Amino acid sequence: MSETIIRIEHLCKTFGTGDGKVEALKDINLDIQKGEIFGIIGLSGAGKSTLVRCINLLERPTSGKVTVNGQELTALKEKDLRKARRGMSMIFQGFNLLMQRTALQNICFPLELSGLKGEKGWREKRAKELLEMVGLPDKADAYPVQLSGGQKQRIAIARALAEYPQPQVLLCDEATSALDPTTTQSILDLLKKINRELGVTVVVITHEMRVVEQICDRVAVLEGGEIQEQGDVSDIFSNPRTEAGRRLVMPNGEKIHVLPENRLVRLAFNGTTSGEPIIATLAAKQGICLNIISADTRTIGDRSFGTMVLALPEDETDAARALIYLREIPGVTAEEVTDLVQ
Amino acid sequence: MFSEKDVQLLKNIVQSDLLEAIGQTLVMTFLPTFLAFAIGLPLGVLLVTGDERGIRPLPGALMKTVNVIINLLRSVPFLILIVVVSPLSRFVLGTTAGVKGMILPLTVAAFPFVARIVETSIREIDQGVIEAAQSMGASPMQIVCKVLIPEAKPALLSNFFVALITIFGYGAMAGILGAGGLGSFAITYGHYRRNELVMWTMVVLLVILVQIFQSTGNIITKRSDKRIR
Ligand SMILES: Nc1ncnc2c1ncn2[C@@H]1O[C@H](COP(=O)(O)OP(=O)(O)O)[C@@H](O)[C@H]1O
Ligand SMILES: [Mg+2]
Repeated sequence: MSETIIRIEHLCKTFGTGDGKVEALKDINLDIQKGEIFGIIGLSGAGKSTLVRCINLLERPTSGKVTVNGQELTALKEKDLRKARRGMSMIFQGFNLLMQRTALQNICFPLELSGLKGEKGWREKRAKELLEMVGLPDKADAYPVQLSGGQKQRIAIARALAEYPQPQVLLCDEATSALDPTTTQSILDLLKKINRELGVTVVVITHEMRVVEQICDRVAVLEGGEIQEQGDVSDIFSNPRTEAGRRLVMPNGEKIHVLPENRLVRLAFNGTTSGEPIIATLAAKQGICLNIISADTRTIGDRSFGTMVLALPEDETDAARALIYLREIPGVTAEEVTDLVQ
Repeated sequence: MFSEKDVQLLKNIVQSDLLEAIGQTLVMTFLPTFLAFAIGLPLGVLLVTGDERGIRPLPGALMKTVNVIINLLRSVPFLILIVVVSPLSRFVLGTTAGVKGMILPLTVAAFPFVARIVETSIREIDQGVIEAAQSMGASPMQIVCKVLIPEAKPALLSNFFVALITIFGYGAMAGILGAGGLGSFAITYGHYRRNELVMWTMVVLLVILVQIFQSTGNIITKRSDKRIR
């Protein structure tokens, strides 16, 4: 199962020249395995879209090599490239359906492009099967304007898989970013199903940690056009090694200065007390200073709900005293954390 | 209000020449419109696809030249254009007079305008849809035929009627030069012979025709646009 399907080597992409030059991608190296769901996560402007567009060469890399299925795309002429693109497909944040075509006609579109001949009505037959698979068998004659966002994305997914033979790679550029959480979940489930049942390799571009967490096997963290780290999702999420990784894993995105030897404690507030004064009191009464690593609390009136992660002092006895103090506060549970999951 | 003589003349015109005049007006409207689209549609598409950011960029110098020519033709007043194009009309169609003599000048006057409105209609299409087609391996020609034109169809239809009415107006104006049709009647009988009844009748007829074109256009455009509802 460890056969590389997409290989990116020393990929660089620079937009413009002179003063207006933007280095969108800098020396990207990436191997994506056949049959996996690979995530590329990064904040807005990190270069994610540019990277995914370099995979099917919608964007020509400035330098570097892209190989898909053993075929070096960067070496192909425009005409051969168009043929190669049929072996992979793409879905988008904005769905990009043809507005003047019905759902069924949209799904038939790639089949019309390839000009394959078959018995009369074969395209419609195939399109209907795909509609069934994405769970919208009754929407064949609906126009995009009559569909919800989630339904549009389902049609786009069906269209992406319509090509015959079926594409082996599905590139998703922020495919769920325009959807509400429930719909996002259902689309992610569908992508997972396509991956498991049809063996399609899925590349997921997103700025949302949640998406990667839910469906990806491996992930690369992109920032400033560079891959900061990559690896198994569980590894990166439990122990991000780079600043960029931490920024994405810690949703509050605060800059953290924690030494590896600092012990961490997570406080959970159940609403009977307030957050900030605890730290102030601790400093005043015991002379112990705690750093707030991250806080995800809401204050209603003078009560706090949520969690907060604090770094304990380096000094062992101080740390123990602080822990005891924190555990005695009513309405607060304090437990030590050994890893930085949130 | 109107003299006996006026009414008599109008009666004569209605009985003998009116149908023919309406026919001439329609020919002078539809034929140049179709010809202008035959030239303007591909040209307008080219203006979009040949752009440096288009799906099939063409040399910048060529695009610039085409743009300048279109702008030049659009900035020459229509009546002057007729005079300028006359020799060409004589050469191609053998005449510069009447309905036949007006076809070529009207076409030349209208196609740059048509090219521009086609360009605008096509630029309205979401870039993402074009990109989706490219990601599926569509060739530039396929994108034009299967994406750009079908997706822009409602806008193109709507603009077809805008062009039709504009050319209709040019045709009526050409009545001054004896082009034939309702405009000619309005000018020769109404203006030169000071027969107000005939003039206003012709004007009312012209207005009614424009209303018919516009209403038909609205219905057809609305029906063709699947984004509405
Ligand atoms: N066609 C382009 N021309 C110039 N700069 C671009 C172009 N496309 C993207 N960029 C720049 O490249 C950087 C990365 O953009 P993008 O790949 O869209 O980021 P992301 O998808 O991660 O938000 C940004 O700084 C953006 O402004
Ligand atoms: Mg993007």
